[in-house]
Amino acid sequence: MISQKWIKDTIERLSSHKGVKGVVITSAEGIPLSSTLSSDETEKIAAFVTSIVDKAKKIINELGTGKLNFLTVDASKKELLIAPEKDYILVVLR
Amino acid sequence: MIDVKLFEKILSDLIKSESGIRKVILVDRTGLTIAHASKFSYYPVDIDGIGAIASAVFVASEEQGKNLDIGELMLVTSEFEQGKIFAASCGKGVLCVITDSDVNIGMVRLLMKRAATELEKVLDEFLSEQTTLPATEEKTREKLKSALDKLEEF
Repeated sequence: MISQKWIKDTIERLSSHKGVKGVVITSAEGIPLSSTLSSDETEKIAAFVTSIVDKAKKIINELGTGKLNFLTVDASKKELLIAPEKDYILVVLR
Repeated sequence: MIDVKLFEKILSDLIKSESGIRKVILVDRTGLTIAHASKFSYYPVDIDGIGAIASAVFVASEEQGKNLDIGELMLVTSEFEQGKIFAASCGKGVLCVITDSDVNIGMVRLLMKRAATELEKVLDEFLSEQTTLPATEEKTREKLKSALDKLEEF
């Protein structure tokens, strides 16, 4: 169950790691729950990350390879670490 | 001169951007339909009616915002068992999007905001063109004005 305290603690814990540029927690529907980034950037990340998670889940389902546990998007400037859970998606930018 | 098809292009780009979007309607604040786009041509709805109600709901919510002094209304979401209706402000118009129930809300919001900014510009240009008087009407007005001036001299 997600609580305000859990969200606060998780964001603080993840943000304290070296190299972490931002943390976003979004609902599975793409609505941001909490973030350390600007509202514009948060909205964008939440929308696109939920979209990519949906697609990845469909692929995994089609291939019959089990459950999606983790997703990494490695780009030249930043890296997105995506942890999809049942009720929310945790995103770390580094 | 603005091509009305430009509205349809923006709306169809929006509908293609997200799989859960069924229908997009652009209406003015009085509820008149300006343009619309559908994913399935056989999807049977009364577009004018839906657009008019969406506009009325949006304007009513806007009034609530004014009464509470909480600023401009950006977006209205109505969630139903089997679908969702979003309405966003786009200047002098209201952009209405009808989706499936399991749509990515964040993505729809983002896409609507982008489309609304684009539509606001086009709509402003379109409506200013509509209100510009034709040259003949302008001349008639000038003639009437000079005739009135002459009458006043008497």
